[in-house]
Formats: sequence, C-alpha cells, structure tokens
Amino acid sequence: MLYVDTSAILKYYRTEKGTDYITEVIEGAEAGKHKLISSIWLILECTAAIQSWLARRWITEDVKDELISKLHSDFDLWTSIGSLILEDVHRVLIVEATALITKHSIDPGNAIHLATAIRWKNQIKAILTSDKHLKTAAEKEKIKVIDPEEK
Amino acid sequence: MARDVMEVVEEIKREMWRGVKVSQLEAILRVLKEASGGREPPTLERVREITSKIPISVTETVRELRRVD
Repeated sequence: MLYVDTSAILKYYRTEKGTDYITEVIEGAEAGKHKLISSIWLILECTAAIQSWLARRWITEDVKDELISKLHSDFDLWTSIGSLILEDVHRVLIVEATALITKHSIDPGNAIHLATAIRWKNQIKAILTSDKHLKTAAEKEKIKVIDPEEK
Repeated sequence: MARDVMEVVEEIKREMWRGVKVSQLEAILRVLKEASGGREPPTLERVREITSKIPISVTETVRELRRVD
C-alpha cells in the first residue's frame, strides 16, 4: 500500500517530472497490483489547485468544470473499485495534526496528510510526495518517502 | 441548468438530520459532481492538453496552497 499526497497525484493530470511514475502507480492500482491510500483532504486540495488556476485566469470557468468533472469521475471510480482508500478527517485526527504542526513546523494540509499516514504506518510502504516539507517531516516520523520527481 | 452547489450541501445536511448515513466521501463526491456543472468527464489526454498551458508545476501549485509564510 502506498500513501499518495496531493503533490504526487496531481502529476497524473499534468505532464511534468514524475508523471510517468505516477501514471504507472495509478494504473497498477487500477489493475489491483497494489492499493493507494490518502486523506479525504486530498480531494479538497486537488479542487483548490484547479480553483487557483481559475483565479489566476489560466483556465476558463468551462475548463474548470471539465477538470472538476474528471476529478469526480476518477475519485468515484478509484474508491468504488477499492484502488484508493480515502480516510475521513475526524476529530481525533485533527488533534493529532495539530500536534504535528507544532512538532514539525508544517502547514495544516501537510499535517493532516502526515497524521493520516502515521495511522497507517505499519501498512504503507512509502509516502509519495514532492512536497519538501512533508518529505522532511515524514522521514523524521520514520516513514519512507518516494518523490515521483526523482523516479 | 446546474443547481447552486450550496443547495446540494443543504440537501446533504437535511438527509443527515433525518438520520441518513452519508459518508464524508459520498458527500464530497456529490458536491464535486454538482460543482462540475454536470459536464461529462474529459479524457486524460484532453486534461493533459489543458494543463500543459498552466505555467507552473503541480508541485508549485500545491506549495502555494500550503504556504504558511
């Protein structure tokens, strides 16, 4: 099982460094070779990323709708076939994330991902992320990190 | 004509108050579906064609979303 961060999964949708690796990982999960896990926060961040492109006028409202529709369709498919597990953000997790903010000086988004990954520490092989702050904090928590940009 | 996305939120809340079990995932997917304006999902190739015009990487986009300084 691999933990997937927003900075990694979004590479599936934009061709850049790490896209080939993430595509392989996602296709492997779709084929049942392995499972992916993340926080449900992932969907919020993916949506916010698209929205930020609209805010900067890099995409139109119509294109934003198209991208959101693709996100919806992929997350619906992946979660329904079991290739992606999305953990709820519950009350205890927020408390754990708060502690991680103070422990590692990370932002709330990274803290929610890290708190979720720590809960699954014994089942996950690595966190897939290109976010340097999450990488550093995860390594300090003794979780292996794979940066798709380095694959 | 797509509904306002907040109408879906109110609908989900009413269901929850009636005791219907709605998971976070199900609720968020319903909101996203509405937010897409009911569009058909594009192909991955079309998505990559669109995002090729975004001048910054997704890593940079996420970094900006998570900026605390």
